Amino acid sequence: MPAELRVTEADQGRTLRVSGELDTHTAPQLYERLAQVPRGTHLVLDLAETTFISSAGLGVILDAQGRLRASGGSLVVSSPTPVVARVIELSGLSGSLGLS
Amino acid sequence: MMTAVGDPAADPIDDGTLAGLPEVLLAALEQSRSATCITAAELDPPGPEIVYVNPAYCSMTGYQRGEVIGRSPRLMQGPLTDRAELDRLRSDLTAGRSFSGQTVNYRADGSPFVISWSIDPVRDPAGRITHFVATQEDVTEKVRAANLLAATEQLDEVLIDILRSSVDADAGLERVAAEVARGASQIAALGTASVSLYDDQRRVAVSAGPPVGDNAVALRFDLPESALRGLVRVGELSDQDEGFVDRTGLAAYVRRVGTVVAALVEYHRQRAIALRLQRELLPPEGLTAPCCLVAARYAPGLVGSRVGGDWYDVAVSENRLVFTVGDVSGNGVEAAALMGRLRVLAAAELERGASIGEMLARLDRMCVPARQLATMLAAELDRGSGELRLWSAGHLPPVLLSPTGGRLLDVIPGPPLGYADRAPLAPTSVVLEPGAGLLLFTDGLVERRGEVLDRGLARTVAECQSVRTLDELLDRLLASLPDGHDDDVAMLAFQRRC
Repeated sequence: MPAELRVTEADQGRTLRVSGELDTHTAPQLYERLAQVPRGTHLVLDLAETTFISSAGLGVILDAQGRLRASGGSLVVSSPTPVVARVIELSGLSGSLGLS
Repeated sequence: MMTAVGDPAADPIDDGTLAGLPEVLLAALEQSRSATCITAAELDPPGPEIVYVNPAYCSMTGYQRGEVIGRSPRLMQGPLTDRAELDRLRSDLTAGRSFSGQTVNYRADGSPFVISWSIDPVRDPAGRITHFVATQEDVTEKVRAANLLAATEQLDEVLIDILRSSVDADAGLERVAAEVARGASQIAALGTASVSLYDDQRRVAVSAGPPVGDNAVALRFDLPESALRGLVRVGELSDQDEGFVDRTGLAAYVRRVGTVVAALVEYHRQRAIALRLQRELLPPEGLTAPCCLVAARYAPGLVGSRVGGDWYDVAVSENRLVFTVGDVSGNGVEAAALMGRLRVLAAAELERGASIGEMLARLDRMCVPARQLATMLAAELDRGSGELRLWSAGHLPPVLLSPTGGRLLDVIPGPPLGYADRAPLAPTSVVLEPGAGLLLFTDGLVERRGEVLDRGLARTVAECQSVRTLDELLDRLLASLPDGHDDDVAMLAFQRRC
């Protein structure tokens, strides 16, 4: 069964809620969506409904963070599930993604 | 109750309007292109007796009218006629139902052909069945086209399935061969076909299907840029049935088989080249270091011809040993190429005596302009004191190996290499007693879709119990990878001896 991912918008586009599994197969979908976020946006990525994240998924988030920062914006994640928080912690990114 | 087609009770014939029509009806039947046969109603042998066939029937079967009138349609049946279809026909007609079906019949000259036919009861005004009327169509060409299409589609499915899975070149060819034996017999419609691939010395590399007789139809195919040749044989044909084999369809199918096999051989050749190139970017697995036992493994992702970005290495100098594993994010040529550059740069930095912090800063500066991230774990062993210091750039923690088992070593990670404005990493420090060791690995070993990362880590730790040798441990871990894993894996293990 292929993994499913849904990205929904809140707070006038300043929050993106990511629901489902964020892995190698679904990461390109999030990449496409994040590429549409206007430059300079201070974006919150709500991971409360993200049930799984792989290194590929994390890579997409870091890539978007790099682009937003370069244009004066920012990207932090909020309310990750314990599973996702653990991956972020093991990747040494808790502070960088606004979790600590 | 269902009304039979042509039931006179449902639409009674008005004699007034049909006056003079029987002559027209007969002329229409005689001149129709639909092969029509009318039999008497008695089904038991030797019946049903044929009372009428039209010229279209005669031209389809090759029989003269005089040869079939008074005989049974069983005359047309033979070894390839489907008995189950005949049983169904009999049970439908006995029950007064219409019948439609398909089977093999034989012409007057004994040559087989496929018919599709319908039989309807003919009733008198009292509703009694007096005759059966059958219309028949020669569907040999339709069936051949359908069989060819189905066999070709199935062959493509098998190819796609092989490319998506992790089977090696030989197993892939064997699966194709098995499908070709099945597909060729489907096209031949005679049940037996074999295929073999052999080299220029006529040594058979792969074969499938039952043995076929000497009178088989044989079709060869060549594989461009390969010493392999292919041979498809269809048999056991009696002389009578030989014309039934769809040679045109079989030839088209075998051409397609040649294309598929050539694509598969080429795919495996390309994949072997990619893996060979990648292997050349890594140090040999038989690494050594003074006072240590060392073992390493690299396993490519099994699907596709993509290369990966995982590496391992050991740097030896007078007072220290530095063990590293790393993982450039993503797959493909860019990841593998950056991996090769990072590994060589790290080795050069360590060779000139750089500290781990300096070395990591250099690697970080190489990743940033490439806009690629890499995780890395560096373990520096002081050869005198046994102090082990570890730095993690976003990399998974290692397993501390002791004679009694293993446990995860909690190394506080910093962000990956290539991540903007990172602070210098702080090392974690432990003392490695003689006999103790360390297992470093990349995420391909533990990451499973839909599974918590900690479960994969726990599984790896569990594999580290009662280990006799490092090679045995790494082989055990490789064997635990799921079939068809698509991420690559690098592992490095060492044990302090003195």
